[in-house]
Amino acid sequence: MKKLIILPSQDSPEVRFDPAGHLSISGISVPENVNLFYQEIFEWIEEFKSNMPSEVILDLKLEYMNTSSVKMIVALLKELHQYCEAEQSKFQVNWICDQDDEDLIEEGELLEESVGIKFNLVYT
Amino acid sequence: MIQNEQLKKMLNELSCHECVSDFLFVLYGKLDQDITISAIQLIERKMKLEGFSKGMITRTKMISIEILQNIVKHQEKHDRILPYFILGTREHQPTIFSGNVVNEGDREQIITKLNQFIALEKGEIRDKYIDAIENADLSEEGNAGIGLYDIVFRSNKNIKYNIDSLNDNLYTFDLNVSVN
Repeated sequence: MKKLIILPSQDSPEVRFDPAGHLSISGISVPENVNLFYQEIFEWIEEFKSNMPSEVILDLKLEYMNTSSVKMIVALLKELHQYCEAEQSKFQVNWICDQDDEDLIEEGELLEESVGIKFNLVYT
Repeated sequence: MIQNEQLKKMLNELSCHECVSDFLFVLYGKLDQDITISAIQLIERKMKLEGFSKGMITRTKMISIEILQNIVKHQEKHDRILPYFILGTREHQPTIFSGNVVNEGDREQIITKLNQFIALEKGEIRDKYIDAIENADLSEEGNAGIGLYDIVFRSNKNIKYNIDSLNDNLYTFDLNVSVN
């Protein structure tokens, strides 16, 4: 299985997904059509779930995003959480943000609540 | 010197009647995705320059992106009335004024969604917002349809809006969101 690497654009984040289990999404996510951008990510996850490693770490370092992207990220987190549980793989989400940015910290808490898993808060 | 009379009048009204002391960013005319992205970058830069906190800048950007992308998606063409987006400060807090022409269907959606969310108690808004993120369906165009909820939630209901009829099923939609 190949790595998924999507370089950042002016309205979409950088994506680096390694089949060994280290996944990261960073930057801004405000594409006009989230379906077009996130489709490739979900296709990769579909293949990844049949090759699930014992530990999956997802780094989320997002500066800001639109609501459609939030919905996509919640869906992605739920899928990964579900697959990891089914395969008894450890799933860790690192929410990476500035310690002084209380709104991004709260955004992480909102996502945690939506998905129902505890994030590891990492300050830059 | 501002040459456009309509914009000049609008800024004057905001200054005199809405107590806007500083204008940080003004956008007037048709919008698209590229202009939206550039606008957010300029808003961030300007707010940093003015010494706003990181949290306040993030909140303002998140609210602004929803307002601007809503305008991009729903702006109706009109020969006299153009979309606008103005970020100013009122009592040292950011406040956003925006407006565009919408059609009858959008008008109904706006009224229904805004009234539904504004009527909620502050404690209920967070739960409803999370519920909306989890359960909203994405359209083929990738719209979740929860941008207005997001604006109400992030502004702690500090919003005012007005819709006036033009003609031929077109309406002006003006929005004021205070960020605090």
